[in-house]
Amino acid sequence: MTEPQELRSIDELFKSTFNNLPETPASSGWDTPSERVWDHVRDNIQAPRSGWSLQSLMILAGFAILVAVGLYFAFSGAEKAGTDPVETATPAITAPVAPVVEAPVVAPASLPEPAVASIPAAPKAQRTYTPRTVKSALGNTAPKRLPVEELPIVTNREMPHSNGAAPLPGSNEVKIPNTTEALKIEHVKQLEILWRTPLDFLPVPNTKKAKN
Amino acid sequence: MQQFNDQELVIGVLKGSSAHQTALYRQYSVPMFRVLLRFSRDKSEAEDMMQDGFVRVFRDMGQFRGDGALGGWIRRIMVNTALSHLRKQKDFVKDVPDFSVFEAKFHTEEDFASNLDAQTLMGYLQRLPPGYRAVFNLYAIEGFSHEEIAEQLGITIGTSKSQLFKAREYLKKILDKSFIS
Repeated sequence: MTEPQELRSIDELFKSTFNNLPETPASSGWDTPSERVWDHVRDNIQAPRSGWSLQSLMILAGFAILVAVGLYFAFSGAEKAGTDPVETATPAITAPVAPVVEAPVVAPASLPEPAVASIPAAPKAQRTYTPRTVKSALGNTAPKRLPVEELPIVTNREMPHSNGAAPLPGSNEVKIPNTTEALKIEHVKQLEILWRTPLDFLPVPNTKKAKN
Repeated sequence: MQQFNDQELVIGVLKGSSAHQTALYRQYSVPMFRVLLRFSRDKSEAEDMMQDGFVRVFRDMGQFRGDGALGGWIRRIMVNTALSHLRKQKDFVKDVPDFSVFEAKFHTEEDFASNLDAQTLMGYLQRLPPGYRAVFNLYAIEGFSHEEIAEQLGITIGTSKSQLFKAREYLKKILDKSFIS
């Protein structure tokens, strides 16, 4: 029984000593924690708050970027949509103009002769008497196209350069047939034939204009 | 430093007031540090435990129901923190086969102080093996039963009893040496 009593006294010694310590810490500082403990505790308990604020700031920044990007694309899309109707509207506006100009040409029979002549597209009116028209009117009697060998040859130097560039080296000697002149000659010949041939059922062409 | 009662401290801490947080720490740091010194081998380990313990106090302040003293609630958190630190050590309940291993920790004659003040007794406790120290603290000072100690430390009741017996034996020998010197 003495041993348990001794042991209990040991327990009591420690318990009474540690439970009856003065409230003020010892002057030696053995029972006082260092200040770094509170620094760490404060950092740990404030970290979530600062982390949350940082997180919220990042979320807000990301949201702002998304909104800015969305607005950018929205406005750029609206600009594209705004320019497209203008571009498409332009042909829509010009489209009705063209038929107005060509309307007298489409129906020349209903208009008087001077009105047809006053149309600015006069060469087109002359083209109604082109060699092809005459050829179709004469049938097989019309002369065939002249062979290429008989046509006058025009060199490259005589032709105007559209871009103003000098001809390529070695290309000066190439002779290109001038089909325009050949067509004119052919046209004149056809008109002469047409003039000699009396045709009652055909309208009398204005040969003077055709010659001009 | 501004003084607050427990209710004001709790409300202030819950509101996130840094003044109340500081006041709570200043008010309870010394008594809680004394508790943790008993469970630790030195001051440095006690400070590590205290840091974790107070972080838990501020984090779990919302769980304080106010039906007891705030100091008692904080003390329970500190003891639980010390035990969780102890459980992290692999074989904290292993037996120390020879008393000479324990005795060898007393290097000078001054370690066997004839004046058994709190600091001296704390030094004796801190020289005990971790398992002996924890069981003695829980049983003799905190008032836990062997069943509760076994549950808290994850050991058997028999292990708790044997650890307590050896802790007492060691302390008795040291105290005898102190009285002799």
